[in-house]
Amino acid sequence: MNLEIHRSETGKNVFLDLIGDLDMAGAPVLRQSVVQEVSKGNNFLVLDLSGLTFIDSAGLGAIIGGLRRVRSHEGDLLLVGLNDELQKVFELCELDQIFNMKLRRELN
Amino acid sequence: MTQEIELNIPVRVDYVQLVRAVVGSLAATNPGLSAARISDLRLVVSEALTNAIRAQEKNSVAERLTILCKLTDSAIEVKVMDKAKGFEIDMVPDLPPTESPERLEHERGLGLTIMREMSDGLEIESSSEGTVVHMTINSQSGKNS
Repeated sequence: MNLEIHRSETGKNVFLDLIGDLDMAGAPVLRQSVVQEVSKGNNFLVLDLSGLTFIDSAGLGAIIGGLRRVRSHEGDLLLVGLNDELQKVFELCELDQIFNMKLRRELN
Repeated sequence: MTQEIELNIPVRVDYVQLVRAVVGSLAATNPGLSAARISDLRLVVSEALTNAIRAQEKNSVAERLTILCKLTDSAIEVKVMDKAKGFEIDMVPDLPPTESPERLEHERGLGLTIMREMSDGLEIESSSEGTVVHMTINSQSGKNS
C-alpha cells in the first residue's frame, strides 16, 4: 500500500499519521511532508506509526532525517503507535536509543 | 515439495512492494513459516532489492533486476541479482554510536544489519559484473517463530 499521510494539529504539535508502507517509495513522501512542516515553523512533530503496514531501512532513514531536521530548528520529533513488529526493527537498529517513543498518541 | 519462481522487474521503486507481496505469498504456502518469519522475509527482500535499485541507478544501469525464489519444506531461499558494478562488503563503514550526534547524519547503512539479523543465512557475492544477495529463512527455525 502506498504511503499516505494524514495531518492534524494540537497546540504546537503537528501530528502526521503514516498509513501504508514506509519503504523506498514512501520515504520521499514523508521527507517532503517534514520539509513542508518545518518551512512553516512547525518544528514539533508527532509521527503516528500505528497505520504503517511495513517499514524498512529506507523508511527508517526518512524518519532519522526528519529528526535531524526538526532538531536543527530547535524542535523535536516523537514516535507513537509502534506495534511489536516495528518495535523489533527499531531495537535491532538501536534506534530506540535515539528516538522518543510512546505507545499511544496521548502526549500527557 | 519444491516451488520456484523467477521475477524480472524494471529498476523502479514501485516494484519493490509487488515483489514483497509475491515472495510473501509464496512463503505463506509453507505452513512451517510463521507470520513473523514471513514478515522477516519481506523485510530482508525489501532491503536487498532497495540496495540493488540504488546500485543500478547510481551506475545508470537499466537492465532488469532478477529475483529467484525457491521454496522447500525446510526453507525459502531468495536471490536478488543486479547488474551494477558491485561493492566490497568489507568497505561498508560502521555507523557512529547511537549516543553520538553524528549518528543522525547517517540515514543509510542499516540494510546490511537488518539482513544479517533477520535472515537465517546471508551470502553476498559482488563483482564488477554485479551483485547477488542470497538470503535464507528456515521453516520452523528458532528465530522469532
